[in-house]
Amino acid sequence: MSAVQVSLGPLAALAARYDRMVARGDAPVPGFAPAQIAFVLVLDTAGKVVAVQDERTGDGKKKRPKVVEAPKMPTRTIGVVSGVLWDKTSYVLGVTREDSDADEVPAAKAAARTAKAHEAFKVRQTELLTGCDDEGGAALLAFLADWRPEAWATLNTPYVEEMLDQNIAFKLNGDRGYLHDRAALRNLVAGEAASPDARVGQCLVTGKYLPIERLHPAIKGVPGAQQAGARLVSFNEPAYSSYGKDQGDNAPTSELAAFGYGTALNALLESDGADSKGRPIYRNRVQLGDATTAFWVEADGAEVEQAEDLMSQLFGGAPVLSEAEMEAGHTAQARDVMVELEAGRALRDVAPRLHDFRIYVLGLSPNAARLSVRFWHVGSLGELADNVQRHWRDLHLEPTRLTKSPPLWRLLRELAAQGEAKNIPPNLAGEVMRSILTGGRYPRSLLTQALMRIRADQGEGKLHELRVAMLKAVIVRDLRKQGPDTKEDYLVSLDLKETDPGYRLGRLFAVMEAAQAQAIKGVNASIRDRFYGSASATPVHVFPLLLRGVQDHLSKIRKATPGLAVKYEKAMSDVMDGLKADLPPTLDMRSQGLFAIGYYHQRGALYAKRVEGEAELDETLTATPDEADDQ
Amino acid sequence: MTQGVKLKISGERACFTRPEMKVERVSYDVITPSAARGILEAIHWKPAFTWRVERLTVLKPIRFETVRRNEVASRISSLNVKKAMHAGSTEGLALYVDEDRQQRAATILKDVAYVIEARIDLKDPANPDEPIGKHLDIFNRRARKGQCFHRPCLGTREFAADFALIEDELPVPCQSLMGERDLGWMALDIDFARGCLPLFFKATMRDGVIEVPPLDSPGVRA
Repeated sequence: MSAVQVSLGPLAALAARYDRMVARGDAPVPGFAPAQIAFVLVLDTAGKVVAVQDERTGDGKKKRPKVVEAPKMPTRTIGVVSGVLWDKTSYVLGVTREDSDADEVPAAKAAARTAKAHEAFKVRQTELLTGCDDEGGAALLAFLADWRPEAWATLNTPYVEEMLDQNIAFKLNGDRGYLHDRAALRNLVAGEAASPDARVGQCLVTGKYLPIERLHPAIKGVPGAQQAGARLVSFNEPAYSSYGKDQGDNAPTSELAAFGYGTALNALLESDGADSKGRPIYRNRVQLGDATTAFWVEADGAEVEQAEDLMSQLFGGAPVLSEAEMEAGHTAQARDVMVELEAGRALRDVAPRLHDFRIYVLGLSPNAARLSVRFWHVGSLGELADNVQRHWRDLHLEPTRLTKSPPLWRLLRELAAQGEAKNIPPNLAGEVMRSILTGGRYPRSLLTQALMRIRADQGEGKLHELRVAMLKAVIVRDLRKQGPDTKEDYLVSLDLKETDPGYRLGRLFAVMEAAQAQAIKGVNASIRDRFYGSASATPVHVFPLLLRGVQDHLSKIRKATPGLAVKYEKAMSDVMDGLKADLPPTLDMRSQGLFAIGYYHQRGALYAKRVEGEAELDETLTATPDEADDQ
Repeated sequence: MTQGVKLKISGERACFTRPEMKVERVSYDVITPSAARGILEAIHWKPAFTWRVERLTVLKPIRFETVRRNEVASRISSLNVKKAMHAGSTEGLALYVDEDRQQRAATILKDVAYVIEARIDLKDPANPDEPIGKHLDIFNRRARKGQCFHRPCLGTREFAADFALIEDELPVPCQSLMGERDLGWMALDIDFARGCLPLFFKATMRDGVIEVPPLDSPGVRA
């Protein structure tokens, strides 16, 4: 576990990701543009030329200069305008290919122009770099101070002739990147690229005094927001401004930092090609209801991809491989880790290197021209894995038809009317996500929403396993927060000793439903269809009715198979033994949840040994509580 | 007699809004020095001095929740109010909420408790009528009795703060806050003297304690 924890805000974390993207060469930089560099002069810290490197690609006659991101060349028409930190040899070195056919006068003019160009280059670099605190900048200034165009011929390099009139950049000896890639110089260039009328203020991301961005960058890639892109930071109504500030001054962010976080966020939300079925692949994004969730890992290196892939799977995305990866024969390594996690092993044991990576999760939802932050979470990948596993354990219910743990989007769909993603209650997705990420209590609305859907729906999906699982998760987690000595497998499967009235009533309801199904084959409207809602909400009114009705069913069963009727009666009396004589007049939400869980457990036990269409009562039903413990 | 005061504040909810996330509010993890200053000013303040917050201690674990609230998009302009005052009638001075509704989400802190340690900076130390001791005494007396000019709030007015003067030992932060935590750049205060300029400082929480630099310290100003 790292010694220093971090609690950054979203903008600061995104700006840090942008910096890492730039270091990898993956991101555009303000003030930079693609340029063609042919040669590089490698300088030491004193400004002496150590070597000349050939950056061209291709071979033989077809050598072409390499395209790199370099400070944007100002428009150059007739006049002499110098570039910054790179240019062609007439500017950088003061030499150019001599035209041997020219007469004396034009040749003299050309020479004068070259000299002027070199002078302009020196002046421009001095203007930019004087006072800057960077080794590379100092080296370049030293080089320019000492350099004489005549010295070109004495450069110790085979490219002496080829270099003429090509673009030359610089590199400090020992650096991997160019001189213009050095952070301090990049900031200087970007600073100059800033808008001229921007006020200088303290940036709340970097703390430095830099020109402040007035209108923050647009974020594309959030479904539901306007097409042109929505803004994460915007003050587009008068009520949102304070202290008489206007637009970006309300939240002073330097133009560099704003460009940075905008680029990073857009990159995270972008799709990364398509999978074999043509669906877009999102490596850092998952959609939960209306909350687009972006997530990333703060680290460098090859394992970042594996860690982000694991996060994607933990949030319910499938491990996707693009066409190219499938052809290359990659297997989803993160799928292996996921399988281990689903089996219950801790991430610390399975992939200890991934455990300490710091992760960020940002949930965004659209609000016309703005983006609203649903949740923001900073933590470690190990914590995330542990909390997601605890969530799975809390959801675990038996009997189950699931082959693997349900992703969050699947759970949320169960809470929406008609299973439509657009009907998911808006706040719920964010709150459930937060409880999964932090291990805190589930929102109360999860319980009520699941109960509502159970009441509203009819047919097969009424008491869907996932709905009951969510009810169980809310109840169990609440119990555990109150008293940590709750059994680990509480309410996972049928609990014959549980005396909670809601649970027992649910079990009773299931037995009565089974009796009815046995008596009337192919019943049109079972008691579940007609009475479930009222039975779970107001048992005192409904159960006496049901108990009267079940006697008729039992007598019918007795005529056909008396032994079966006895089993049903015994089952009912076992359940009712644990109930008090007075039925509760109403059941509160939590008890209604237990009703649903009891119903589900009992029903699962009743139909556990279904033999060729005939429902048989499971032996555990009629066993005494002591025997049940052993089974 | 010490130079400073210690106050414990607590509340059910708090929202110390990040300036960049002011529309769809996201709160900082901990109390900001300007919010702490506001709480002290609610209890006792005179133009002769300013409060300088020195240390903030977080006592309870940091927990968030999200709420959505209906608010309005526009403001009543002060010019209109002035006109109404001169005219002597409020004719036409209205803001119709149902025409102007905006729903704004807010990510706020739940169940917070902090200790604020602060001292008084006199504007004019040479003035014999306003000794520091007098103001400290007034503050302590008022805090003990629960007196305030207006109810102190935790970031925004709707989240009221309960306060209690600390006279014995300082309460100890909870276990989960131990260790060092980097909070990034946090809003320090607004420099009203320089045109409402917002100032930020690099905040670090060590074992639940945040040391607050003075407004004119080198890390804050260029």
